[in-house]
Amino acid sequence: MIDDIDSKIIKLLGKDARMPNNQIAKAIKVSEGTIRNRIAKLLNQKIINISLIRNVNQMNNPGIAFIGLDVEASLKEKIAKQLSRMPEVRFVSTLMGRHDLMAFVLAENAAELSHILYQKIASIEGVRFTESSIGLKYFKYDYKWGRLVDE
Amino acid sequence: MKTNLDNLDIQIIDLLEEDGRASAKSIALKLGITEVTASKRISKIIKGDHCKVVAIADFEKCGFKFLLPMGIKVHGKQLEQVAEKISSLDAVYSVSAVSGIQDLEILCATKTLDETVQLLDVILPSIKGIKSITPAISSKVYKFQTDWAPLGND
Repeated sequence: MIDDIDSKIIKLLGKDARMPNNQIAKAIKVSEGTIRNRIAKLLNQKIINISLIRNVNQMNNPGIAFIGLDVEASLKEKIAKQLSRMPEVRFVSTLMGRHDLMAFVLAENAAELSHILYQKIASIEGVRFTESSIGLKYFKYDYKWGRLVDE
Repeated sequence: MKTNLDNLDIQIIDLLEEDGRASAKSIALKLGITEVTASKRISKIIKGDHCKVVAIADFEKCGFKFLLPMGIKVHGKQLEQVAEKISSLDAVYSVSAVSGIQDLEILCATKTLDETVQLLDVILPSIKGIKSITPAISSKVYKFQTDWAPLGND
């Protein structure tokens, strides 16, 4: 588990992971050595990872879809893994309530998005029903949170 | 807004993707440029709109047991106000307006069942303009990729 110092470090690195250790040390009033050890621990235990996030507005006409899927019960895990292997699919989770599975897709443009939704995903064996919503405007995205899933 | 990157910028971005905390000195060495150039380029790339180098923390290991992808329906004209209100909640980390059956797709993270119930039964229903809430609890996350995101709303 993480303590108060860890969460302060996570908060600062969540804004700018290139912040030098001595600045972090100054900001939260502990020694630079402590910061170095803590960051190493957070990384080793896979509590955080350092990522480069590209801004979707640098794509030409990005399309993001939120897809709920209802699937054959016995194939749920298989379908979750199949979806995870598709590079355009960014998020896959099994759900309790609402649908059996949820997936988020990011495509370079609307044509590619429709191909993924209506050709690739709809043709997966065991997918009975999909409900897609297309992202129109993004009010909040706190990128400092995620699940660090081993692939 | 789109800005242009040259070949050198792209090479630097690739190196930062491998190691986000790589020093300007080591990047300079790898690309055969001066440290000053490397460090100028790095700040240009990061201060610009292109990308960010951040630490991403694992919900679960930080004590958030519940990840909740919810759909929200809103009474017509109040979409923006409702979206802003929901965005201001700490438990909510993503809010998108969508076309489709739902009006908003949101992701929330909570630490306990009590906190989850409070969010679903008290906090969200008290926001004026919300017509319906379709909640779900994520049971297992198979993939969570973060190399692209809408940036710059903070």
